[in-house]
Amino acid sequence: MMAYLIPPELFELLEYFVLFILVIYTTGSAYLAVSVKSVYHAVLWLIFCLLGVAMIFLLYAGSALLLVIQIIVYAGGITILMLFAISLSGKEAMFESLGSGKLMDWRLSFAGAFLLFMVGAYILSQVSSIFWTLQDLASRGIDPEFPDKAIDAVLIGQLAEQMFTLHGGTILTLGLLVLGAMLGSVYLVKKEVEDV
Amino acid sequence: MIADASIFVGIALLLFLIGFAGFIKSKSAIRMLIAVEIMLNSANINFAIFALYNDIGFVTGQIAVIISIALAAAEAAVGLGIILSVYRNHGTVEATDFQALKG
Repeated sequence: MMAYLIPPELFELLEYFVLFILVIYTTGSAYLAVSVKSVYHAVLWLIFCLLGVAMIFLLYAGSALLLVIQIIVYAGGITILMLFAISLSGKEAMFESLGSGKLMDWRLSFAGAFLLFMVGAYILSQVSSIFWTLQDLASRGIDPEFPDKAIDAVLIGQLAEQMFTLHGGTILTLGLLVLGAMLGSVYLVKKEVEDV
Repeated sequence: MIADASIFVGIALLLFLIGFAGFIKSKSAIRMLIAVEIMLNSANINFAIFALYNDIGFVTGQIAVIISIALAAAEAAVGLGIILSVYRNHGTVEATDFQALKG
């Protein structure tokens, strides 16, 4: 049995502390996303909220795959679609009611939130995740020199297998639904262009 | 690993309430869509956490989250298409102004 890298009590405290920071970050961004006056700024706050949820997926649900999907599809895809829709909807769509949304200096806030995420991600990736993995291995009595490399591969393999066997029908239906949604939205917008 | 899953249920509840309050309060259709995305994310946290803390299977929960994210993407695409279409016809995206189906 290997010794713990850091005492388990301190490790648990660290886990709760990081969770506390993440909760403040995520719920604060969510609150700002529904409360700032400018819809454009609201979408930008939504991105930070989604990044916070992605970090919860990685650190507390133990899934790097969900982090990647969350960032690519949600934070990178849907929000950009929303920004395009706002840009195409004219200036009156930018603010919910007349009057500027000078709730705070938004440039400073965005820079702060982005910096907080990047610094947090850097620290977590450089220090905490290595510590946590080694701590986990040490607590299970596995030598960090030869960790069980197959764990991730087995998980991804199981995921792929279940997606095409047990949940195959659901995934197929989902594919048809997404195709229908894509064609439907293209038809909706294209029809209006032809009418104009 | 934090032993108590109820913390995460609380976080999900908090996010859901923020999204719900935003949905009720907002008049802009785009902001309603933002609130719905926040509510969907709280549901995703619940899926992932319950899959980890119960014996239903870690992989099953992840598949549920992936399905939910794909559904959210489809919903956002259709929703934004409808918003653009309504804007072209009515010149506004305020949800209170859409009264064509009211009768």
